[in-house]
Amino acid sequence: MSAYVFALCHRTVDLVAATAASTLRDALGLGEDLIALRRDDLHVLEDCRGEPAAWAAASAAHAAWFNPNTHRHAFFSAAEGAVDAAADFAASGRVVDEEGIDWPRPWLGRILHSDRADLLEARSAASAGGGGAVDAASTAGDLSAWLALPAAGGAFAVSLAAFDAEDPVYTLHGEDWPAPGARVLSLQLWTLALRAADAGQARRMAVEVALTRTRRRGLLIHPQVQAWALAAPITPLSRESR
Amino acid sequence: MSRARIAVLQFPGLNCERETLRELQRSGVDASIVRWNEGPSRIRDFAGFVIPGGFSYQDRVRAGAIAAKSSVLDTVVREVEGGKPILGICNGAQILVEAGLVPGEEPGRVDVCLARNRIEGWSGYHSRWVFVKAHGDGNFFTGDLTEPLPLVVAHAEGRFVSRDREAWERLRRKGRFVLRYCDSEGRDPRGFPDNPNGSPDDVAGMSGLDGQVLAFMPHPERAAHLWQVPEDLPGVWGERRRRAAGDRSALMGDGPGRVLLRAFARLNRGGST
Repeated sequence: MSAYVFALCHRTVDLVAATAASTLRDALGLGEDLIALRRDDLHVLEDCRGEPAAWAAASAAHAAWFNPNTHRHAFFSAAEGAVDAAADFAASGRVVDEEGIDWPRPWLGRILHSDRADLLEARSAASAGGGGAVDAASTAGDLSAWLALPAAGGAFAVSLAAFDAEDPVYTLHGEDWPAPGARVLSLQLWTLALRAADAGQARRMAVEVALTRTRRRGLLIHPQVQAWALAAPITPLSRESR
Repeated sequence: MSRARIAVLQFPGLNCERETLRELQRSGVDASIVRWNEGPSRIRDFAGFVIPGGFSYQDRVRAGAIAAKSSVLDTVVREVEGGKPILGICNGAQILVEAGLVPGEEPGRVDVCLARNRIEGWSGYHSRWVFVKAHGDGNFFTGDLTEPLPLVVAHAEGRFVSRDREAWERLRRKGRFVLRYCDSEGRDPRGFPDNPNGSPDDVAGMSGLDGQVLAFMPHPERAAHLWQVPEDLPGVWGERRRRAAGDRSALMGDGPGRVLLRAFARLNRGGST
């Protein structure tokens, strides 16, 4: 059995992220400090059989989760137990923490498969037999490559994951999936590229504008229905550090 | 005395403004459509507001979330906090909740969410006739409601929720749950389909501030005439509809939704009730 993270993003402009970005800049005061906002759909698959390519084909055939004409996709290795860890995390109710809570990690590892050839080439050049090991370094590196945020001096990328706090985990039905009965945790990954003095400030800024608490504070995540977590190490976006 | 003027606020993506305007006017209300970009001075002219249903900003991020942050809401919130009434229907209700006007325990604080429907076996969009009845002493909107009203719901996110159970209890004790789903006889629902979205405490409408704010998921403007009520509907309104069959004048008469919309007709210019 394997565990994967199936990541999806728009091929062209994501209108939801674009609208959210302009609202964060203009209505919630981020202004030019928000360099970019990116939204990805992530599906953590556990109890899986089958290769990632078979999963991508089945998903496209089902018209489930994505349309290959409008979305790009990538499969990452995932830590076994990531789905249960997320469910436990959601059930704990620790969702309104001003400092944020790190996702039970490491949970997202190396890229295994994608329709982006550049990612696969970079991965095979970087790993000489590293397999799909899940560790913090690979999370930061391969996720950053997938996100492809613009380089910017004095800026940091902060990724926040949000998912249904009530029923976070569901089971795949239908015989034509590679592994019917696989368990799934679906989440949205909001990544904010923020101009900040340091990683700590970037994190505070991201949490402030992401968590909906008042009409003028927060937009992306609603803590009354969603669990959330800082989903990856905060990474600098300066050209030198990449 | 001149009639109070009511603004039907239109955001990009709302799609019920015309019928809401028409039925307010037929209820004796002097109403106009005001677009989101018309400026604060225009907003201040009105004695009350209605935000109709639809999909503001295409429901991007969450239903109602983007409209709630819009600058026109700054003015609307100030006017409503000053005592003017506002009714949010469906997506309008979602906007009022996202704006913190409902429940409005602290100014602007977002304590509640209109979450995805949760029905045994599936979740998501659902449309059907339901019954609602008023609870509590009655406020600006619910004071005239004496019998179960059949109305239409049509939404995917209509379940009032808060993860803070103590806060939810406080809202219950304070009588915020002013309209609840019921069966055709006004009895408490036994789950779906009486309660069409899994809303806890069967909440269909929640009040805010001092009762002048109502976030309401069913669509009164779709049941403003008796002919809009299905003939096979049980209860008092179904019986009235069957008796009116073939009688054009009776069919064009008041439907159950009119009772709610007419609340605005009681307003005098200046916002007093």
